[in-house]
Amino acid sequence: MPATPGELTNADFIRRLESLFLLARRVLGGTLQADRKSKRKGAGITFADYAEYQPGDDYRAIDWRVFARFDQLVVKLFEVEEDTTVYILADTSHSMGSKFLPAKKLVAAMGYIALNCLDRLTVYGMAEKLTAIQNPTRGKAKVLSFLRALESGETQGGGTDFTACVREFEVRHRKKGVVLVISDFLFPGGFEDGLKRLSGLGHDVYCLQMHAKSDLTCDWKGDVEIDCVETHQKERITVTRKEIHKYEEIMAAWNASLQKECARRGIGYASTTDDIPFEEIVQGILRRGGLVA
Amino acid sequence: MTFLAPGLLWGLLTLIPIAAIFFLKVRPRRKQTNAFFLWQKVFEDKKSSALFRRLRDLFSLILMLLAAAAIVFAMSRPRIDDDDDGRDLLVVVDISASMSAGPVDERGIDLARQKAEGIVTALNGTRRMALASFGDTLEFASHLSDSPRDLLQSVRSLETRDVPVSEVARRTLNQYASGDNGGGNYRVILLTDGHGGLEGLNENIEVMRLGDPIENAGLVEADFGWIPGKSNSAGFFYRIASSFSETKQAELELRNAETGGIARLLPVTLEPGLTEPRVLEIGEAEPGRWIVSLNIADDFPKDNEIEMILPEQKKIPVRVSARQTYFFQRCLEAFDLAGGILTQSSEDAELMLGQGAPDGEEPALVFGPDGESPFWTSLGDPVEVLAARVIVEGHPVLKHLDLEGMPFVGARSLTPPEGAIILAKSESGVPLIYKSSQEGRTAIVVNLDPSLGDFFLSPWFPVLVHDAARHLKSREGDWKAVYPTGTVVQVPNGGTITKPGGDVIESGPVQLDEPGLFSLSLPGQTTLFGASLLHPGESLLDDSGPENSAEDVASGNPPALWLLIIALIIIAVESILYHRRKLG
Repeated sequence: MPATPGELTNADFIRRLESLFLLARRVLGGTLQADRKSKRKGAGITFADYAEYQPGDDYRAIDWRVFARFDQLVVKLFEVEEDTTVYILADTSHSMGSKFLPAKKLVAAMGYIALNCLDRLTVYGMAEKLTAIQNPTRGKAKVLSFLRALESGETQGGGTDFTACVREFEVRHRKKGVVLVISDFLFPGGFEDGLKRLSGLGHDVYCLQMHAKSDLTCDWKGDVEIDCVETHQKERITVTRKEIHKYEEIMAAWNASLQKECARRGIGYASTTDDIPFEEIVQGILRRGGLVA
Repeated sequence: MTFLAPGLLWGLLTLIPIAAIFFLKVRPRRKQTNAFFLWQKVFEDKKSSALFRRLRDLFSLILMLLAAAAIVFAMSRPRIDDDDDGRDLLVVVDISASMSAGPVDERGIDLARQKAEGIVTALNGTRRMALASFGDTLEFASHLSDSPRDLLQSVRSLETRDVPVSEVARRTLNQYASGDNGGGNYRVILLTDGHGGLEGLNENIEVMRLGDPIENAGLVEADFGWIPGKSNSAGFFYRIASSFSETKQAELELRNAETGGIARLLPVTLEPGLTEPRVLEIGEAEPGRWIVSLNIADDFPKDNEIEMILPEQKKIPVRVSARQTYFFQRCLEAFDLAGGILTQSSEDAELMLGQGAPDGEEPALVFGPDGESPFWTSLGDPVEVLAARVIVEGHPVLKHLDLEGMPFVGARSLTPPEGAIILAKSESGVPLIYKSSQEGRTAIVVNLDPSLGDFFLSPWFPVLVHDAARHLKSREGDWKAVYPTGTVVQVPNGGTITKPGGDVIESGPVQLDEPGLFSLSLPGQTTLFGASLLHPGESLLDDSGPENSAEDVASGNPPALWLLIIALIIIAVESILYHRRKLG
């Protein structure tokens, strides 16, 4: 479902994005260039920890006050403040049709925060192959063009080949960064291979699974002809409580296997549904300190 | 099978659009899913039932077509071909006593009601039916009607009566069957168990026998009275009928209902059919209510018990006043010794028997009028009587006499007083026997000299004395101990009869139509008598009676109704399938 013109670029929406960014800045604590927190220690201005002085260490980093008190040489470690690349892989297959707008708003929010943090942002649409929505860019000035590009994005393709998309992504981007995958993860070919590859590339990978509420449950009864939105395969079936129960079981098992796979590979994971406003989703992620599996 | 409205069979064409609509209807709703590959796991589980689902759709179509076809056939009013010619019906239901025999809900009347209801239900608006009950009379419960509601109401109102089928009812029914009553073209169907009073039915009457033979035993004849010549001994006369197929043992119990004492309890052996009549002698019997019971387990208890009355042994004391008293006294002694109602008494006499002018104040039976008396105004010479002539036919004094055989020797010409009732005259008009009331006294004058012509030795002498005495003392109407139900008795002048149920009849004939004790009230006295079902035909519930001769007659619900019921069931089944298709 394409967004109506101006839906992602109107003042009200951007104000909502700005509010989220302010929240993000307060949570993340940075104000300047590339101020995204990193776990790596190095030259920076934000104190991180002490370490015993080793020959070859920068003597400027020795904490003389500690030496004066404890007669021991220690150096101060600072968090590395680096230029981070944020990759957003948004599912644009037809299966996202019913939740495409909330997904795009979520992409917009994450991209906005990234651009305002002066990170490098790249956004791809995922279907049978990758489609660039936003080529690599950075800076607040690019926000509007990013939102316009996102606004014009549509669902595409005949299915989602996650593994193929990851392969293509791998070829295109060698530089490590943060990879945020926003999808329903209803990939007939499975998600394990794609996630394995992504995490193997050294990226910080996060999965944000978005379901339409109607995906999780089934409210059909009686004779129905089930039509696949992506492949248009059809099958007739009489849906009774038994079938509903069975489907919901299979769906729950599928989602549980995704969560388990993410946890196994150290991939951040969050799940949401299309009826939850994107601000709540982002706020939730930020307040938890990030996406955790 | 024929159809009363075959044109409506064109309605079968509606099957075509129904089939078309069905195929449109069963096309399932299309639902898009983002997780088709997950649904495929569900499909795999359902593969085994896919064939059933396809057959179910086909089955639903067949059901819809069948339902529609059944409705169309019902509307075309089908009728199964049989020998029923469709004429109007006069259904006659036997309501005699034997129709109440049998197990509960399987009595003859129950079966007759069911059959009649079946016939009414099958009328289907094509014929009319009249309903009549057949017992002591033929009574119409419903005249010709095609209204099932009215007819069913009439059928359900039919009840048995404790009376047998009467000759009058049979004759009336025959008239209807033969068309003598001017009726139209109709069939007469008699629903009966086939027992009692059904002999001589018109051949046009179709007898439809209901039920099977019933094993029953019952008292079919009974009487209870004093035994002449035996002091205080009463005799119980009885006869039993048995329709058991084999010899049965039972007990006959005779008890005084007022004291509760059992006078006799004897085993009886019941051979199939009618037993020989028997008399039980009861010594020192007490007058009053008595009950006799036949103790045997059968399906018709009504004929197992009789309530009856043993009247008081009351004699009429008679005084003799005559020149020659010998024959008069011997006559009274003979009655007394034989247990008759007359006894000789000169002190408390209630009746005078004599010759010449009557003396005293009692009612009198006077032979050979002589001298002066208020009972004749003139008395002349003897006349020869060649032939006596009855003036009042059937009078109680004359009803047992043969006047032609009576020697009216010594009769004299006389003039009876004014108001006298002449019962017999000579050919020349001389009053021979007359009754007169003068100065509050009643006398019967017999104008002959009994000492002449061997009249004392004539059998008519005691007969005349007996009947005249009973008449003068108003005792000629003594009632029996028990009557068969259906008997018609006359209410005496000035009296009333009260039925066991409490109904009071003040005059005219009364039918004893229920078992129990009837009460006759006359000024100064009350007499009881019993009535009971004493009819061999109503108790012998075997295979006897007329054969089943009924032709086929449409009965039960019409095929159209069954077709509609089938259609409803089909629609119900289809609605379940439809619900499953739509709602899972």
